[in-house]
Amino acid sequence: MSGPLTQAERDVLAAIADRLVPPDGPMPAPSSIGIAEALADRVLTVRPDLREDLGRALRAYEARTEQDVVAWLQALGLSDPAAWRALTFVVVGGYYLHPEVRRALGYPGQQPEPVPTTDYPEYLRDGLLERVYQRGPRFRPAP
Amino acid sequence: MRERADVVIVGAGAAGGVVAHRLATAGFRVTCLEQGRWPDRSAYPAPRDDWEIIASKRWSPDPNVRGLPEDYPIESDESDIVPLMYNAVGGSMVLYAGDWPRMAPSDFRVRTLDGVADDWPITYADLEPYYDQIAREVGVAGLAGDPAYPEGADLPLPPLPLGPGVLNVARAHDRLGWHWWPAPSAIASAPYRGRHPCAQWGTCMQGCPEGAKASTDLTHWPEAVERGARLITDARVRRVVLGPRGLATGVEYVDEDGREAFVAADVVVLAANGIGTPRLLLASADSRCPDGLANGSGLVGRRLMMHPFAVVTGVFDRPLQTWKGNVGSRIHCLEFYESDPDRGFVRGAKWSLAPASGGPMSAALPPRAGAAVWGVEHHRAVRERFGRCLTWGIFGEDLPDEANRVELSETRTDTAGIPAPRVVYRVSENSRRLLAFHVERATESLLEAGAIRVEARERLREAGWHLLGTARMGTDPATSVVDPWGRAHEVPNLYVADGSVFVTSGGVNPTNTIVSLALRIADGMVARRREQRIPA
Repeated sequence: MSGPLTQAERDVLAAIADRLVPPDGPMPAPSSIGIAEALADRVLTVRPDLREDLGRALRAYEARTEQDVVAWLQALGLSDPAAWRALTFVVVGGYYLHPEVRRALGYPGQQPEPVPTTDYPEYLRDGLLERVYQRGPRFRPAP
Repeated sequence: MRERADVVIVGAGAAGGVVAHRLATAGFRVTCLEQGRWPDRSAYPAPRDDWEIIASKRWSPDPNVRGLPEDYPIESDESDIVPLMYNAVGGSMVLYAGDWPRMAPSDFRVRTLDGVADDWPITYADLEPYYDQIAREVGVAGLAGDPAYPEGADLPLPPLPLGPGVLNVARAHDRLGWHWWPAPSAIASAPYRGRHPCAQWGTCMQGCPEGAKASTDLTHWPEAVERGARLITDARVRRVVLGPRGLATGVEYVDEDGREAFVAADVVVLAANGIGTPRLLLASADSRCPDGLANGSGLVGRRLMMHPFAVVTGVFDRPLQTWKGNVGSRIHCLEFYESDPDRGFVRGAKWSLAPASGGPMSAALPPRAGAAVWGVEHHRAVRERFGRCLTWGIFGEDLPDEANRVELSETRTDTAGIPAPRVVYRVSENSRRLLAFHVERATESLLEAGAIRVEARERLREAGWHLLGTARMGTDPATSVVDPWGRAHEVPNLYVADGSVFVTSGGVNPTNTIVSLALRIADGMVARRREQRIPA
């Protein structure tokens, strides 16, 4: 299957995501931040190769007999690892893209920060490294 | 299309860049064929909020996952370790962590000291001046005086900062009486030869957007090109052509438009890594050498070593902001590097302490998150790990075994129809014992440093960064492919200058040794240029 997720697929994805990553304190429910809409679309835009495997995972969910979603996911990991990887990747990849989630986690994203100008490191000031040196050579002489 | 050079080099990565620079500086007319392209730093994903998603595919170190037009597939179903590489100017250095240790003196004398494998035909002392020169060329940050090595020259740049939490591990080793030292790194800690210092993006393995991390597209190629080297990208080499006098006459390749082309040269240098180089030698078989070029010993492609790898992760109870800073080694430990007969195995391993880098995705997905990360446990598991883990990465010495090998696939090819490599590799019993021992010791280290929990993973499969040994050097043509100067015993104007020439693997990241050997090999070519046999 290719192309955008259908509405039915989005509904299933949101339901699964809310069970795998349930809300907790400042961490929102995936469905409340659009996990199955814009966020999933962003993940699949970068990883269109996951679309087919994700579709298979969603169909497997609908056909499940196991009601415990975590147990179902574990079984999916054994029966169809590619579908498992796609589903968990889309849920986690989409969820942790959202600014509210990142804020709650204290993650500002990758930011440039010039490496500090080297002063005299603490391990030189307090003799920590000197003690390594004083313990003597750690290599074996070789002919 | 046909052109002519004094020397044609296959591969513009770590070794190819160094050789091209040295030879162009000495006045040789150099042409290099690279199947990848020039990296575009502006395309590196670090500044994007979806960088981890992009990294999982486009910037994967596994060419089978990446699947870019410039990659070739690798059959690795029969390998315990998946070979990793990157095809571009700069080669796999574009994606490496920049760790820059030397091999130890004993690494060159494994047979003499431990009664296993083979001695190298050169010694640490032979290579030492090249280690020193390369350190200046790439701009190595670190501190001289590490007692795990003989006394050596100062490094050109001060060490990178250790970052939060690392000093506690160093103090733990102080209490245990174990070795540690600030890790040497090929990442600029201050402005160096036009390169910016590290900006701590934390994405070294998806390309350094700052250009602080050394790779030959930055450190060697610009100057090599300025000095006359010609670099042809998007060029897939099909075979080395053997002339009537048993000398190589050049290489055939497929250009960016899919046209067959040829570079005639007096000398051919292969620098296509420990998979690509034997692949090409085997693909160059003809009626005179049906088992592959320069393969009278039968060792082309054999003795593949990939450094079985383990990680031991300490979870700490305080934020360490591990998504920041260089992702490679902050300190290293060689306390258990040398053989000890009481341990039940030979040789040893280097430990590299690094932050458990990456953004929240890597913390929230197995394996780092653990298996029980879904449902009500999810946020606790992520909060506990994200930004709070330090990891000892453990590379054990991988002893050569002729059964571990690179062959040509019988079924798969790249887009030009060149046979894909097939890799067969099994982790040895010595490596299993070695890693088990080191994982136990590294666990002690992290617990002593105050980790609230320690988790280990042994023998990671996606860890084949180090591709070594598949065209080993030696003095005996019956037991080696090239001589101590990288020249093929059977084809005197054919050289191998990459990690294929390693006799044994050592137990450290090999890039420093690969490029130092490449520089030594290029130096030998310059010194013996008058004696070099060339096709008429």
